[in-house]
Amino acid sequence: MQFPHFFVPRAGGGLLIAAVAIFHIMIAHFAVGTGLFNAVSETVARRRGDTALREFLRTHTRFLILLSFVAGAVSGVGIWLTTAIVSPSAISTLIHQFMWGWATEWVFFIVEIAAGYVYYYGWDRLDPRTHEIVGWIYAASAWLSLFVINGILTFMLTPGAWLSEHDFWLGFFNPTMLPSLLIRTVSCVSLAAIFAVIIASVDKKLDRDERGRIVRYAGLWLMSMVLMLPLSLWYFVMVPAKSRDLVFGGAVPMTMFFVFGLIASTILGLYAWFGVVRRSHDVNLPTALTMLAVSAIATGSLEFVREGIRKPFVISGYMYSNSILKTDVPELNRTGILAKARWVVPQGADPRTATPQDRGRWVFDAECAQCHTMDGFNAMRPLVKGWSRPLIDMSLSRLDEMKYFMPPFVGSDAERRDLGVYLDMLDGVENVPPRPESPPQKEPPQRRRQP
Amino acid sequence: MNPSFIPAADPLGIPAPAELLQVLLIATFAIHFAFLGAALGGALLVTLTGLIGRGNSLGRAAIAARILARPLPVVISFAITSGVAPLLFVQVLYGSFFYTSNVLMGFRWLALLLLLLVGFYGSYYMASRFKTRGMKPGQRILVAALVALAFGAIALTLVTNHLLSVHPSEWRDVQAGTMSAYSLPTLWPRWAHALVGTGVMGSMLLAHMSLRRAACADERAMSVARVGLVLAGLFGTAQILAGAHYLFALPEGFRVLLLSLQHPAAIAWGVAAFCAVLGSLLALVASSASSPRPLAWISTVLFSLTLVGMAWGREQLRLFHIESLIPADAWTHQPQVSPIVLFGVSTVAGIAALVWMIRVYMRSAPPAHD
Repeated sequence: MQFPHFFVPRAGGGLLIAAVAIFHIMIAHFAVGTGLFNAVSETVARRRGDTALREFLRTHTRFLILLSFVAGAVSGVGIWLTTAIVSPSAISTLIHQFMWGWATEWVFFIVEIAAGYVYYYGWDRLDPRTHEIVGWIYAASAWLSLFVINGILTFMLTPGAWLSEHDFWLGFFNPTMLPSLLIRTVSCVSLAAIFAVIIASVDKKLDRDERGRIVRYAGLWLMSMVLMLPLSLWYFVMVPAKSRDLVFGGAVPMTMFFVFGLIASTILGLYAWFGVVRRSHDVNLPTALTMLAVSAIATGSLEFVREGIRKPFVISGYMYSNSILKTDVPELNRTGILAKARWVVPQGADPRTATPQDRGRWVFDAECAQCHTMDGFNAMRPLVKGWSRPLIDMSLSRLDEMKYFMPPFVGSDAERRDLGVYLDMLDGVENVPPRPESPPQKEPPQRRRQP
Repeated sequence: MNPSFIPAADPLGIPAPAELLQVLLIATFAIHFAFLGAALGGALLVTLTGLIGRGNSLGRAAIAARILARPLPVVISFAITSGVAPLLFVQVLYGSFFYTSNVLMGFRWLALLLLLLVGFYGSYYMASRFKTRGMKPGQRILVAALVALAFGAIALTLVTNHLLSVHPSEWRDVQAGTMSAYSLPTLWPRWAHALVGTGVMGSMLLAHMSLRRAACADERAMSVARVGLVLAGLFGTAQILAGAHYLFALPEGFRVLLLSLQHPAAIAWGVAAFCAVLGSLLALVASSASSPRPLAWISTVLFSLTLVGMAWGREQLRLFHIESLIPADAWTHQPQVSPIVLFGVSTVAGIAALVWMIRVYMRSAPPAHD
């Protein structure tokens, strides 16, 4: 609200963050999981004298370097860039509260990257014992990096006692921190196992028996996916009651994605035993890629639920998803939102002399545009199509009561009426100047309904 | 600028005294810039030496291109990783300004992602092609030029964003589209200054990589190391000239403060300029010394001090522009003692792990040969 708004045509800022985040999470989980997978597997390989497994780990690490160290690092920066541009107030809160956590995570990240390179480039240079230690340093630093980030991410849904104390540790060790950490750890090792199966399927240096042995070994790791069911249930027991209700029937999309996620995870876990471990010679590249796709569905679904049940907040109980602080609402209701959201008013314009629809549009930009586009994802125009003016007014005045995921309307009564005028005009487009992301209307304007 | 357009400070306050955060910002920015400079300067030099040596694969220029191309992916990786810390500290200290300029830059700011991907994957491709000589020389040079172009554009975006953040008076015009962010005062001299500076870092990277090979009695590598040192000296000299050009593009008030030695930035940039002159001279002397290694290291230390001085001066210039506009309560601090201790302990443990790993790696085997 206090910052200028960044319009992402059609998609909206939220979708942009989600796309970058899901991409990054998949790669970051793979990086953490591969650390654990490789460290344990190298130790196993050395003790068993399994040279094929050890050689395979080299290929696995090369893939880690090319995928995770490049696309993972860049998409990690991408999350910073997109959140800073789409939701600066929210990221500002997280950074001001958890700066030292993030700085600590950065140290782990640097060690992780350095260890990864020494591990890979030192494959033929370091003695086996030293190489193994470097592998464990990589595994530990990567997992510790996840540990820190997980505490900050879970804080957004369950800040717990932080809301009253604003204490770092209360926010970090919040109610969902531990179950989420275990869920993510399972997700990490599963992804590492799936990629191990993919790489084993295409690694031409492996003969049939070696490939079968490695695929079976990776399958044992993948079986951890069956833990997703009990861990997810534990997680959802710990979320606020209102959020839990959404998952368990209160919001159909949330329930569906939750069920998708759990079913996909459980199927993968069971398939790991019946399909991968027991019939390892039958696993080929298409099978492995299908497992990756199912895993992506599981991860994407559960991340969607995690994001969705936080609404109407971006930080539960503290900041609404449109970046308005809960504590600021009474003041903004008194002064009006345009008194604070200066950026939405174009240069040279004056809210006092502007038309109601212009003011309404500015209120929309200040309060709604962070989540809603005009004609694309989560679009406003089709949403209010066919709504009468009284229905719009009534909805705006009881927004948070009528829709569980919406924040309350914030601003003066006059501003609410102006927003109502603007939304009402969306149906009869002749008086509404095109929004930045909307193409010029070619259709003849429809006749407006009378209230 | 109407101060009401400057977003209010975050109500949570900052988690440590501002002075501590400023020191951390300067230190981590200098480290980040060292890697970023080596990446960009390295890519530029690979392009240049590749171009010169394209007709003779055993000549010094071609060898220099091969030596320099190989470590660039790792250097770029650390350039990205090390950039996270200053990004963190700048958000805490100057979030109201930084976020606003991010949003105003819009898709140009997000384009960093694409540029990073192109530059990073390009560097891996380039390194593997130079190692195996798997492409025609002209194609290898094109890839190197693409990497250099990507990182040059990244540097331009970062400089533009920084400048926009310290010029709130231009924000509304940039938002309205009546002014381009690329017409901000001092943008081009500043970018040119940074660009020439990266040449020094790329040259020193070449010199040190070659000296490491030369330790195994590789005469060609020693010859390339000398070329690297000469280039570092020349780029260092050019950087001093570019710095003087930038100095005269600065706002007059700030320039007067600098030249009258009445500002901390005068000390910072004075030290930086002195170290740059001395570092360049020593690099040139080292290039013709019978044993160039000690002088090359002293020169590297001096160039590093130059970087720290420049980073310090940069912060002073930022404050010159916006100190009076920083919201009064922005730097109210709520110290978080135990998290600071955690960070300190992690840093010490992390440095110990890094030193140990680098040591065992460097001692493990002689450097690889072509």
